[in-house]
Amino acid sequence: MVAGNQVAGQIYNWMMANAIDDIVIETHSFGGVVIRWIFSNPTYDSRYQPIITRTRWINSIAAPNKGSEAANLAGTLSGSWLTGWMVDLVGQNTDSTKNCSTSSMSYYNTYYLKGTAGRPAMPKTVWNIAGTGLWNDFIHAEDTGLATLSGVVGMPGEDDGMVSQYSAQAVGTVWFTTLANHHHNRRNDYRKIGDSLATDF
Amino acid sequence: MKKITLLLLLALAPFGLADVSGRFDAGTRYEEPAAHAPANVSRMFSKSIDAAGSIDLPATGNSGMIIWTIAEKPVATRLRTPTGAQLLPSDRGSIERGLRRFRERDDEVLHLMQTAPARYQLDVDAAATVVVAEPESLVTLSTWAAPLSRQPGQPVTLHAELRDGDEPLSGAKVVAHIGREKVTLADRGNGVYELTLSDLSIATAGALHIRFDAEGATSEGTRFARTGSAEIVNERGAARLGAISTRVVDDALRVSLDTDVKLAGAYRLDVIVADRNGNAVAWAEGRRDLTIGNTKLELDIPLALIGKVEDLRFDVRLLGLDEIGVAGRVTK
Repeated sequence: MVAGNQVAGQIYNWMMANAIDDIVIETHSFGGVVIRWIFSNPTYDSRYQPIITRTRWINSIAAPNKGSEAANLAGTLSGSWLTGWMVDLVGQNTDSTKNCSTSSMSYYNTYYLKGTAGRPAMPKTVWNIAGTGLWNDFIHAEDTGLATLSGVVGMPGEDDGMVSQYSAQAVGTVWFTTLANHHHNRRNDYRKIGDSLATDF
Repeated sequence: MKKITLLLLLALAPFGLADVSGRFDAGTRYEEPAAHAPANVSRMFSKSIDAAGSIDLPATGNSGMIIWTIAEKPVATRLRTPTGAQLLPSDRGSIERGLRRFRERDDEVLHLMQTAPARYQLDVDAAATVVVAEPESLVTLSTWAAPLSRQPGQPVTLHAELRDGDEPLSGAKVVAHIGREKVTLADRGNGVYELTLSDLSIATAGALHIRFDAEGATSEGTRFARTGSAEIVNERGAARLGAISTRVVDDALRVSLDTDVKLAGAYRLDVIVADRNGNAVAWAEGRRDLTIGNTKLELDIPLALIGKVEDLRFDVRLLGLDEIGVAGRVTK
């Protein structure tokens, strides 16, 4: 809710100040869940519906729509020394990480969010992009960390080190998959998916 | 002039928060809320030590092993294998030896490419938590807790299942950590371990994380350890919903119910309409700002969305918006 209000505030102020009425929203990771909150709760905040109305579609990159097994691990390790490089990747057991556990997302999908099977459809089309690669660049410590995380938490099927393909594709229509891992599909520095996003309008 | 502007703003506010409704996509089946989240499947375990010492690492074999050591400060570790070979703290290992050490900032990860079904040992020179995974192992711990949405006073069921591929693993010890409590699950046979708690000592509302630790042996006598997790949401008991009634008002079907609100605040009233064949038909939702006490909740669904008004099923939910949580749910 807090993140939803922050994001909605930024989008709303920007679109109103610049008379923007045709928007394509690009999200990464938890951002995809935050946008789903806004689009699933149009009666919660008066800024939400105008944003929905002016949005053409959403491109959702590696969103943990059904949660992330890595976030489950963060919960299991709570109480340990949550420091270090891999824990940084997991997310330090913050509120956003807790909200992304598979159980939490099951709860949100059941009651609050639209777009998953058996729930009302999202009011605008979602195109999803799932990451399916781990070892993109051996010199990046984050790649080692993500590959280790993937092995430690036992993500089912393909994954990008943080989010499994099944989870990223649980909402919307598959646009494409990318071999860029969760680190690189955010930074757009490997198999640049940003080139696809920049021309998708 | 200032007064007029203010009135206009107030008058405009409800328009942005009007109830919304829609039709489900064709072919969508109505789904009852699941009793619990999908089971978490684990091939890893986690152990902690409070001071320098050794940690047993049982390996099931037929898998690699990842050993991730987390500590408050950089630690030195020595791995001892069942053959007596050692990886000393200064040794980075090699691919040829099938054993490598990675270090990044304060973290250390050891990777064994293939383990034997035997006991490994990790010597750590300071307090640490060690997370050990066997990514390709057939020995799995699946865990869940129910109900996913727990109203005050509802019992909680903790469920664990141990398998070695298709073979159930009985005779293990499975404990669950729920808040400060540690409880042992009963072996129900066929690899299933379960415990129902009639109530929880934890009254705090919100997500409640449960950790499971299992130790046992396979039918070949190979020792194993697994750590799993599950979550439930402790609800606040924010409202009690009465029976649903429906009637046609103009061009809409009005869904009504009496509600005893225990906690004031902003809520979302949801109505899901399904037909008798289990097809999800239509939905409606709207924000309601409620005060403590009895009140009638109403939500209109345009008849154009539902067609005929006979033989319909209704699922009404009241969801917290100030605080996330299911205040109540009734069906008809």
